[in-house]
Amino acid sequence: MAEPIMTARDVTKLFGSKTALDAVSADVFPGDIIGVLGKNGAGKTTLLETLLGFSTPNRGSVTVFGEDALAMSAQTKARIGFLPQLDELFAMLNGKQHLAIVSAFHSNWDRALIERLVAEWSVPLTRRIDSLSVGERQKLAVLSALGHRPDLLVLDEPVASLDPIARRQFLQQLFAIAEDEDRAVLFSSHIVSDLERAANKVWIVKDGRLYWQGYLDALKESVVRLHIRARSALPRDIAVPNALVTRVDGNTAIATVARWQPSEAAALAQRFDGSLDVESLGLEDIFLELHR
Amino acid sequence: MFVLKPQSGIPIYRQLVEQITRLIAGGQLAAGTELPSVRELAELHTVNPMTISKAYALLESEGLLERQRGKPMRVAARRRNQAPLTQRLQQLEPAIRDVVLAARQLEVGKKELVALLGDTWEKNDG
Amino acid sequence: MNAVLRVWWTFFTALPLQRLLLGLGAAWCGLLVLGELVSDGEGLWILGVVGLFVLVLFPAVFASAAVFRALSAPHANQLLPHFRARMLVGITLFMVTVLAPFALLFLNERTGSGPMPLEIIGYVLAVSTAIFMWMFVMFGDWRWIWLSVAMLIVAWVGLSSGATRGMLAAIPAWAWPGAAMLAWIVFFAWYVRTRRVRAVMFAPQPPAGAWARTELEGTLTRELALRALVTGRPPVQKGRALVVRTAWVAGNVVIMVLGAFLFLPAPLTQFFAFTSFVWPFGTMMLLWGHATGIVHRSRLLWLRTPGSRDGVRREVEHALLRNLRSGLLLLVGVAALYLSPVVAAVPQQVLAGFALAACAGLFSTYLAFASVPGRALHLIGFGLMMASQFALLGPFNSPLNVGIVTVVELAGALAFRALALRRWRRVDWLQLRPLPTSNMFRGA
Repeated sequence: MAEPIMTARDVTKLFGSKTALDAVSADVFPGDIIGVLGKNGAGKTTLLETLLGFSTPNRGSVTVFGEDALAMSAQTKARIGFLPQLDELFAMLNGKQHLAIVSAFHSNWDRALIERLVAEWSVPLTRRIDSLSVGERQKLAVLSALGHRPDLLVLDEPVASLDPIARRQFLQQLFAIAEDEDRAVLFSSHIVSDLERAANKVWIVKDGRLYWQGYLDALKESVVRLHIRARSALPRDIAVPNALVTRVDGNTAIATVARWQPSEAAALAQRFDGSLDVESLGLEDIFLELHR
Repeated sequence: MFVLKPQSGIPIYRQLVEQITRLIAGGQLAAGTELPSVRELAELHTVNPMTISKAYALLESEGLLERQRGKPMRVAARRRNQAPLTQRLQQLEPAIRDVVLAARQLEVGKKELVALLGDTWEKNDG
Repeated sequence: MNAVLRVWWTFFTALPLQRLLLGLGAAWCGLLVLGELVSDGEGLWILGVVGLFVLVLFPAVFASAAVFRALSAPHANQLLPHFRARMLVGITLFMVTVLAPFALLFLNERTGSGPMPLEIIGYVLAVSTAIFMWMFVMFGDWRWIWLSVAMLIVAWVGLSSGATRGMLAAIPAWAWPGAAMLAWIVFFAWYVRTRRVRAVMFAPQPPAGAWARTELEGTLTRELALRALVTGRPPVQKGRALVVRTAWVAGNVVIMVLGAFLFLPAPLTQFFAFTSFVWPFGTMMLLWGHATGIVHRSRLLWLRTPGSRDGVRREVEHALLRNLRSGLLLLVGVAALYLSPVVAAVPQQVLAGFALAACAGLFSTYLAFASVPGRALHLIGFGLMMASQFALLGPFNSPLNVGIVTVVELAGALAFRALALRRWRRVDWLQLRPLPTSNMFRGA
């Protein structure tokens, strides 16, 4: 297995008495496209920004490309592309001038790529930034993060303001990056359908903890909804192993379970003296069930 | 050619594996047919190319597809190692389960369902 | 009615500092009222009311303008039902509340030194109105500060002249509240009809139009791009905008100084001595806004400056010192003006004044440097310095006062630098974000 691009070990961040991040440990490997999912206020932005060294964790450490995130060398910082949630564009400049400033910091700025994307995404470059719509500003901000072909791309809600066409175009660009197996993308988004298309791994952040991290496929295969139909009335406090949520209604029960093993199906059906149907859940349903 | 639903509870790679397997078994994908490249398929459906690669790799390991150097994947000429019956039955299980659920909801009995199955088999022979 | 009360309450509780003061004021007043009841009435409650006024009501007058703007600016709020009407009722209620202690004292017969004259209420209304209007206008566009400084000077000059004082005393008492009411009527009329209210601007906004037009010829150097990021101003390679800007400021200064020394009677020109409070105050204000903006924009440097936070801190300090340097250059020009035959000031005075103003600039620069984020520190430090300048440096100041203020400013600057070096090691950019420099809907 390749060396991880980014490693977080036991990262804890407190704001006064509030625990924003609670002992978060995770790795980002080259070739990963990781989707970060979480409720508003769960700590996604805090996590992403702390991983990049914008904030000093109270405990734990973060390593990026082998260096401490709080003291990265110029070469390391040049390999990172970051898109913050709140845009930090220059209101009084136009897009062309803004990109000129951003590109001045990178020796490997890919002008051809940016020119192509500007045309494809219809990003207006000649109007003042504060006269652009929110979506146009976001597209410009994305371009600013991509232009130097970073090996690690960290995006905080990159498509929140984009229309479906723009989102598709953005995803296509993400896939182009993913084709290069040395690069990784870490992005947070509320738009679950985008995550299902793009991400191969998922981090679910809940109350500052990394509630779940791993392959998206494994997550979908692991969290399922069981429909139990028994011959006689089921007890109210039915004990389904690994159940997250259970609802009993007479002869039937619906239980959402994690860590599901298909081999358990027969045994369970026998135990409850009935039939068992396994319903697989989409990511949005999984997310909802995990938050009940 | 394929219908991929990213929002489904079934991982995308598995959807693709199942569909290709069924098409091969049903004869719609004859031996030697070239499948779309990973990039083409990924672009068409806007899904992560890694998912497509994973599906293709799985099918290759099962002997259903074979790799050609520099060209896209191809349906294997001959199934070198046919999967055991239990495994093939397992592949049918999802579809059967859907049918059983539907039958239950329509309050069709098991006997009638089996009869329908037999009739459908006869009608779709060949 | 609920909405109006909510608006009214916001004027007293918007800033965290206000909430603290509210707690203290309420406690103070409550204690004294209790004392009054216990000790059988010695007028203690009056002290309580005075305390409440000083701690809660008077600061709220300063904050109210900013709060009013902040509430009125967002587009979304324009859709709230009867929004503007409710805001106006709210501010009226607020003003009534501010005057209430005085009305209370007026109605009370037991003040001992006679009933409170009604005129006082009128004066308080006039002063509060003036403060509100002044701050409201100032927060709308940073450049009004210059007019305010000019007006302040005119007022000070006027008040130090006996003739003017006589004139002012002759104005009937009702004219002051009358003028205040007129001001409110104008304000109400404007507020109801205006299309858009600009948001509060805490940092100077780079002016739009001709000054902001820049030609980026060829590729930018990393150095220039870094400067653009940190100052928030477009990189000016040809320097035309910079020249225009400097010329504007310098021109104003020249006009002010020449006007004072050519047209004012001799005793009053003392006010414009190089060692009066005008110059350190002006230098502090000139540099403060930019310095604050630079510190808040430091976040943009993190991923572009190698190494740990020390790297960013050094870049920020360089930028702050460049900012200071341009301020000092301006001061040198002013000093030269003072040495010229027009003003013909004593060279020692010019030197002392230059040191004074330079240290003031240094102070405000390093105060901004240490406030990461530290809003409370910022406001308190700034406020204290301004207060001491006003107190110790008048038109008739002694070398001792000048010396004291200079030393305090220098010491303060050094102290803040030391504080800054410690704080920057753990700067949290999750909380220190670039200040908004423009209304997103401007131009739309």
